[in-house]
Amino acid sequence: MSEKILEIDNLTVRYKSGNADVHAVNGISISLEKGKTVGIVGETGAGKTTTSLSIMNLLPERTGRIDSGTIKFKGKEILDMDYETIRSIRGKEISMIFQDPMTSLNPIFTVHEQLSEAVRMHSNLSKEDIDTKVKNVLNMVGISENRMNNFPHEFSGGMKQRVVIAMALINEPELLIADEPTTALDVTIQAQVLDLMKNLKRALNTSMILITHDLGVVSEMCDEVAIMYAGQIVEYGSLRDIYKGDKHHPYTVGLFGSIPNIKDKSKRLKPISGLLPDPTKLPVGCYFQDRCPHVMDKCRTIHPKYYINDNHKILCHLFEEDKHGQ
Amino acid sequence: MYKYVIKRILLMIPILLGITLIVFFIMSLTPGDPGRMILGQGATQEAVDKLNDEFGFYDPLPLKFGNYIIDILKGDFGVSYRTQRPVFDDLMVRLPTTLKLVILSLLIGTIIGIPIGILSAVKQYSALDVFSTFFALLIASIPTFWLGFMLIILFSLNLEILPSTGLESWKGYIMPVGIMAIGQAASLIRLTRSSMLEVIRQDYIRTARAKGVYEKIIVFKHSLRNALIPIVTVVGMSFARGLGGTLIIEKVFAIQGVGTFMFDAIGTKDIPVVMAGVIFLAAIFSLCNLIVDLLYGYLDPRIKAQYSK
Repeated sequence: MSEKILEIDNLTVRYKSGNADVHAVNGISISLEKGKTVGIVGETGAGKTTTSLSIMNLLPERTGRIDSGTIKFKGKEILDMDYETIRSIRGKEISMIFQDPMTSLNPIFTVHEQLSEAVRMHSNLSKEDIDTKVKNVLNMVGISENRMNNFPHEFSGGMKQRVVIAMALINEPELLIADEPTTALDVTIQAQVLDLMKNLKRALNTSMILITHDLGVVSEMCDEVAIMYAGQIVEYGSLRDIYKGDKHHPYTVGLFGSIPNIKDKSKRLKPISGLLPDPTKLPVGCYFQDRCPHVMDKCRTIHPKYYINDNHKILCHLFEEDKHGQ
Repeated sequence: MYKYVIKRILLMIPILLGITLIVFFIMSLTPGDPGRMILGQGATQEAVDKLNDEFGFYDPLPLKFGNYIIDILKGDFGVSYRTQRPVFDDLMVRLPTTLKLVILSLLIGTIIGIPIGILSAVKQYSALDVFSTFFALLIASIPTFWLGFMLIILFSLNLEILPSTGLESWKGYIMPVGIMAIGQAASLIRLTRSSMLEVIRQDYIRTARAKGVYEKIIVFKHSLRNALIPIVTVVGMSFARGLGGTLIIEKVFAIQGVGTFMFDAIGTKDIPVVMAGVIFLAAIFSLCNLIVDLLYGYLDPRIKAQYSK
């Protein structure tokens, strides 16, 4: 077994919103080996972005609060680090690609300024060396270096996302967190960006957390998958467990049922009816109870425990008889 | 860019001409004539008529306006009815006083206001933030003249350490500049705070944090420049407004500035002075607007890109 680069254990994050507490992340655990990619899948509001911001300790200062849990990066606890330690990790050892390329770049600085700054914050390289680095990384993401002195508004959305990716990769991070890197892009550009990230992953042996709600992207990119619902991981397993296995969380089944299938013309899509529970008042028992087709009496009263089979975990009462978890 | 500047400067000509035209016709609708004003109630009608003739008072309006414009182009803004001296010279005597007041107070107000506004935003809801927001609101709610009188009572009457009128020594500047500066600072604190708070929440600030940029650099480089646009607007307009409108301060402290000059001219229907004052202010406002717009271009490359189109 290779070394663990990231271990999240029982992470709980709350946001303060007025008088109410928003329970954004409710005890998730993920562990990631070096060079592997884990996909976090779930609908909007499931807590995916909150999880990734927690890893960099970038939650909004006043409103976001990590209630419990640990996040260990290469064995060291991120939540206990002082400002300078976490700062020196951000952008150097852990980088993040943000969701919206349109707003993720500062409009008043050129691409070169924004890329070279990422280098300068973590090294004492000379101007020439930084220049070379910037040019190299731009070449890597397919942007001509004679555009490096342009401002973000002079680029298209797809190119901006490449710049954002370039910025995340310029220091060759050990862990890359990509928060819906392709959501804001059209399909042709999506494919290009995914190819790019795959190649880079191979070239740099970067570990990756890929946040998405696109199951197609997950099957292309990931080694392991975490399905998130209402701040919990309801199912976790290898790509094989999730896409081929015979036991699934009803929510996972629902997610796959919501994908259009070209071969299956006659049938309608099967959307999961209902909405995520209100994160300020999560229900007693299973969080998925109101939308679950298999809901039982105990789902309304008892919070389920994980069914565990090797690396495959399912948080559902349906499988509890088979094997008891934690 | 140069093209844009030249275009804007050329555009100022019709603006100023239009303003002059409007004010000229409004003024010509008011009763009274220069002869009577200059010679006074005791003068004979013949003398008054003769003087009016010299001024071209009985000429048709378009001709009068034409002559006025030609005179202005020659640099001649006419003679004040009241002082019998060239208006332009009188204005230039008053201008340095007002300029000093405005520039000093704006400088001090900006130096105090912007940093406190930044700190307030960065440490939102801290004691400093609560105090400075309260202070800003308090100052904004106090009328200038009242504050002026209160300070005169305190420092001139009771403590006898500052003069209550005039600008003969540097001490004379303390109260008028102080009052204007504190008002400027108060409005800049509020503006800078809200502008910074808006920028700090932007995604690109999170991006900067995520790449490990030091918090100081995030505040002063990434956030401040983006937050400066509304601030530049307000400072620029305060400057223009200040040049014409330090009237209350000038009145309270008996300072002979542009504000008093124009106010007195309006009261005595000294038309050449009013006209010159309005044209002067219009020109100052247009210029300040242009400078503010150029600063926008400097601050934000997206705006600059529009200029060169």
